[in-house]
Amino acid sequence: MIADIPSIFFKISEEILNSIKGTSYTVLIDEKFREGWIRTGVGRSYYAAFLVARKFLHLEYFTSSEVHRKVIERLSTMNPSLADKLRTLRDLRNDADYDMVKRPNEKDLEYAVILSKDVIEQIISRSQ
Amino acid sequence: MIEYYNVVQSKQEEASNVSTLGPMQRKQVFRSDFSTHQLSRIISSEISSQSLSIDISIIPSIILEIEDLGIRVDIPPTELINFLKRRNISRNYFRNWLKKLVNIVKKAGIEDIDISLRRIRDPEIKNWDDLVLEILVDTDVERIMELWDSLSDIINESVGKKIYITIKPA
Repeated sequence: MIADIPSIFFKISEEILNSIKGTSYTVLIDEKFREGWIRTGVGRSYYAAFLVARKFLHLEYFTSSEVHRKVIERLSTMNPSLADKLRTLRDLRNDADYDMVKRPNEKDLEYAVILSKDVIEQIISRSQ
Repeated sequence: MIEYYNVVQSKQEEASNVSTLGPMQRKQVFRSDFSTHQLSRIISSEISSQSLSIDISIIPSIILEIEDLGIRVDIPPTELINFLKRRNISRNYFRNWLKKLVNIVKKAGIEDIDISLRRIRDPEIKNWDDLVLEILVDTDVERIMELWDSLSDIINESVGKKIYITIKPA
């Protein structure tokens, strides 16, 4: 049985958010690692949506970094709004992983989780 | 022209150094330092002092038109002109599209908004030369999602399909 990695990634980001909000205790958020958890959650939110989109577009076998652009461009021809949201998620993920000056906060993570959910749900509804 | 590009280059480097500031602070930095009128004067003087092989007479005005809408332009004018040409987007259509977009954003009633036009920056993907209209808003996530909904029609117009839009919390 193949694990549904995008769903797991999304669940991880959601659990991190809920644990930071204090509505769940799945992830033990030590204050000194709080920012690291937020950055991790933002990254998983993007990858959950990206992997669902990549599969939907039958681009699973592209594994170089170029596939991120390919997925967004291909999505743009079908649904520009969806592509804009996925690209926004990528921006948030790039900031979370590369920009150590910009400090992501709970709102950034909440936004990433909601945006990711929106993108995933829209893609699933299109593929049914 | 060289002087002009040096100014743009230095301002862009400066811009990257202020990424940690809030949108309003960034706007102040740009407004005080990245003066389009100043650039316009430099270009005008360059035009009068030498003959240039490309028609740049419209360059300053298109930037001014966009900035008049309250959108900061973070790309050199020539790059914007070339992008519009490559994508077959007429200048008037582009300006009107931006105007409609700004009106929708203003109607959302969010006070702290910063809109800028720039090239996509992605640390893992080289030469992604598309443009992105970045909207930074200081509001809650629910209202940001509402803003996405209100922009859906404009995103589906032909210009919206050629320029990426991003909305992020400030």
